[in-house]
Amino acid sequence: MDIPVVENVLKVNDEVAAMNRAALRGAGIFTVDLIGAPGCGKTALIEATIRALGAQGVRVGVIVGDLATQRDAARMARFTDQVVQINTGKGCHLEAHQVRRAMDRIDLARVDVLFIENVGNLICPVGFDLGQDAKVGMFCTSGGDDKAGKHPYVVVESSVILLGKRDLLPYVPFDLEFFRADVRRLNAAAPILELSATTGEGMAAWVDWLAAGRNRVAGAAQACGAQ
Amino acid sequence: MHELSIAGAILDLARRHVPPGATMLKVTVEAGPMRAIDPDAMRAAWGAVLAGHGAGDIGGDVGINVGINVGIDLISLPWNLECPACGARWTGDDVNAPCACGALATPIGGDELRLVSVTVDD
Repeated sequence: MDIPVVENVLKVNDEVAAMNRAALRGAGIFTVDLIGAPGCGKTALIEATIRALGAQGVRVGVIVGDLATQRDAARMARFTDQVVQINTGKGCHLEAHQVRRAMDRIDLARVDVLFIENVGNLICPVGFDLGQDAKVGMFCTSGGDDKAGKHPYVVVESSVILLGKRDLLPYVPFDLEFFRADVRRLNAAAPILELSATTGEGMAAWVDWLAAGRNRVAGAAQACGAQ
Repeated sequence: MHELSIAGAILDLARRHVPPGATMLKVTVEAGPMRAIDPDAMRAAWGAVLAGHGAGDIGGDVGINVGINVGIDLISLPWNLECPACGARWTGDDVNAPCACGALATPIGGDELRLVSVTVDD
């Protein structure tokens, strides 16, 4: 006998994600799920972003996922004390229940923007809602200009697409127009922000985008009296 | 690689729909191409979770009898593609195959991941 179900397989994950989202938004926090291949510059970008937002009085918290080591957390702990490292063991992506537990170790009252740095991987993390306000897909100039077309899911799901290590363009075979067109035909709405965490090029637009997101969430939280 | 986690989620969800006393025989799952689920990896992952080697704690144990011979019918959906240049629409297996007019296509949907049905003994 066939029992019809027709339900989202990740229903339980999505329910936990919804609870995460409610808690984070209620605390006036703008949350980003940063997804990118290993070595594309996620951690370096977050470090530079913490400093840039800090200069505007915006406080950043970070939840970082890796299979093992505390290395990323140790790096970012130099710039913010609201850092939690998740070691997934064999897991190639973060899931909502892991973020839920990590949130318990963050003082939400002391965070305005929360980065969830996902496990380095352009494929597996995309389909798992963590409770973020925005998924952000990160590519880099040293990673090849064909990676957007090879990973359509992350491009389609992203609110903004980052191209990091822009300062390396003179030294790598990267066709910028091809990359931009490849992203646009997958996701016409998401802005493409080309930047360098090292030189600071393009960081202002990224910081502005984050600050605007934060203002929206903080405003909504105040409007409904949650804060 | 995420097939193991998805297999665990399928099993936990399927268990909730099995009436008391019935035995699960098969699950039928639909997956859109965006999900990048490899059918062989999915079958291996399904075998692993049935044998109790799950990836994590999505859902938890519901205490229903599940043998290790539960089948999985994975329906892999094709890409639904639309040309942003000329408006043509088609279905296919390659999101990067260009339109007849030469432009690259935009995928429509494609991220489905549904437990369609659970088959139990009568």
